[in-house]
Amino acid sequence: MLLPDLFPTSTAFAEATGWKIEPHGACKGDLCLPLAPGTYREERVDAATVADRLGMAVVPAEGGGLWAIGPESFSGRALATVAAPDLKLQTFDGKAFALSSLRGTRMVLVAWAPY
Amino acid sequence: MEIVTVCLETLGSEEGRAFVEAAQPEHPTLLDVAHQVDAAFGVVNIPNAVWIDEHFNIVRPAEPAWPAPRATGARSPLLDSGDARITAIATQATQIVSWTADEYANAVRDWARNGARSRFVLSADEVMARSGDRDVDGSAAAAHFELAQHFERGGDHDRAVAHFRSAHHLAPDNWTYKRQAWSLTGPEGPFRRFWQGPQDGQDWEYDSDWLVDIESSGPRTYYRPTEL
Repeated sequence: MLLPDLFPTSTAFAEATGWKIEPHGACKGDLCLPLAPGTYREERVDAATVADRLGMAVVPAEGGGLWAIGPESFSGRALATVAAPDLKLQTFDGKAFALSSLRGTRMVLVAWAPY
Repeated sequence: MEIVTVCLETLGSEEGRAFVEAAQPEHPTLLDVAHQVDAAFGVVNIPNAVWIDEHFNIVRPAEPAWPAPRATGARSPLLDSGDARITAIATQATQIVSWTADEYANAVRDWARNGARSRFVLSADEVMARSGDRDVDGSAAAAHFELAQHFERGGDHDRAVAHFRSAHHLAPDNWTYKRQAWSLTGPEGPFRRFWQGPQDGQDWEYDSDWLVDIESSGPRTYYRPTEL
């Protein structure tokens, strides 16, 4: 997740990380972790505090002006839940495609690369 | 059941388009220029596949999904490329360990027939346990990799390399981070993306390369060992 500052909207945070910031905590699938009071205020998320809670690294860009937040690591595993992330990607002909559009169908997702 | 392919490519659609057009797939063919799939599913080498059930839950985490080169009996034309480096890469690649000829495809067929009753469907605990380790260093590596791609797409190669190097240092077992970075600087010609290392007479921007790493670790662990 790339950020110009560390106070994104909750919507932007959820779209980029898969973690929704709810009144009772940070939630992904059926998993919720409580957050300290004040972490979420006026639609903005204190990303550094949430990142610390979820084991997400916060890395400044070379030269400044930009931050990247890595994926959660609090569980010690790449997957903290089996709920599939709803990635929104594009097809090769430029159309938007949400993985969740195939909910209700079994899916084999194959990652490849031309290198 | 649906097959969905995702091309992990910082440089955009043109690099992968020829492969897609040659395959003429009937399934959705997606492009992931930011490597979102890596962090979201724990993909650390490609090709890898993930099974997602009707309820949008992962029932098999990222794992290799095709037969080992030796299992197919096919001889790679790269072995006869006439270029010493490409031949050496192809020689190592033939030693990579994966499934026997139909092993994985038969598992997919079994899931298609039997759904949740398939013996290849894993429990939630097993899916998470097999998804690979991740600590804060791994998270930082992903953040550096995202920054590297951002700068590479924006034409700032020097800043990209600085972040690629940090990602490689923090997550040395992540082949996707390395293969993507190393593929950006190959020599012009048919092997440009697969060169993955230094060229004669030029400085190399990284501490390692594909041949050095696979000769060090051995091709048997190129993909994270797993079982069906």
